[in-house]
Amino acid sequence: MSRVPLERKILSENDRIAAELRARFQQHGILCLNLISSPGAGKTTLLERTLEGFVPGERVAVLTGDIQTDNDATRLARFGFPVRQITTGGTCHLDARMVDRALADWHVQDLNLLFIENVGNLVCPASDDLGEAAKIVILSVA
Amino acid sequence: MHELGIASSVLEAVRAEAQQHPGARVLRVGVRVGELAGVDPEALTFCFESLVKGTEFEFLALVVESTPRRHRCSQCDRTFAVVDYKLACPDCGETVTRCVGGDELELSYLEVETP
Repeated sequence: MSRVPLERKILSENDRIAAELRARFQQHGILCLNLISSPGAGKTTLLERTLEGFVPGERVAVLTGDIQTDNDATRLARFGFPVRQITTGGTCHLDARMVDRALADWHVQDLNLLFIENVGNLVCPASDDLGEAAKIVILSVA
Repeated sequence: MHELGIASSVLEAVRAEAQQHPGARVLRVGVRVGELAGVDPEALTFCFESLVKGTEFEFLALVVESTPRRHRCSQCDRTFAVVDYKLACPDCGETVTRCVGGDELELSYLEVETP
């Protein structure tokens, strides 16, 4: 019997795709922010207030993740900026491949700012790298 | 609820590695799961067992090594395992310490039986 050392990350495939996304965002000068929080903490509300403040034609877009519904996308589309829903169908957080697929037919080079609204989650970590420049954590302390 | 995907990634890696050892039987795969990785070892093992059932890897065992959260002291530079959220340095008592490990989710080794 012999022991073969493997020594690598289990989710290295996610990190590889995330690194590609990050390089793409940097190349086109896009700031990508990943919003994470538990359900109901205010991710969508924060995005609503933020989008409200932009002038029409601002190069901003939102990818919003949800397990089942497209309620968030509907709420955010009212402001006239491109919004796309990623429905995970049971998976509790977004991974880099989902983001990559969702962006496949988008002209990301036309953007300055891309928000990714992660799936609201109470139990699972939403720590997967999505290629973002920074994560924003929203806490509800009321 | 994400352990299945992780178990599936482990199995994929085993499958790829097993191809490098034709004719050999893979017995065990070792993974390292940090306390902060957000992965439940029991759920991971359960998912893994469900995945291999009825496949050529039916008798492959998943061995999970749990690793603690580690902090480094900003004063004496000692690295220590954090127990019960006690973040102060056990040596010098300094309270400013920095998390330096414990979120790993890594493949460690594969044990193969060569014919």
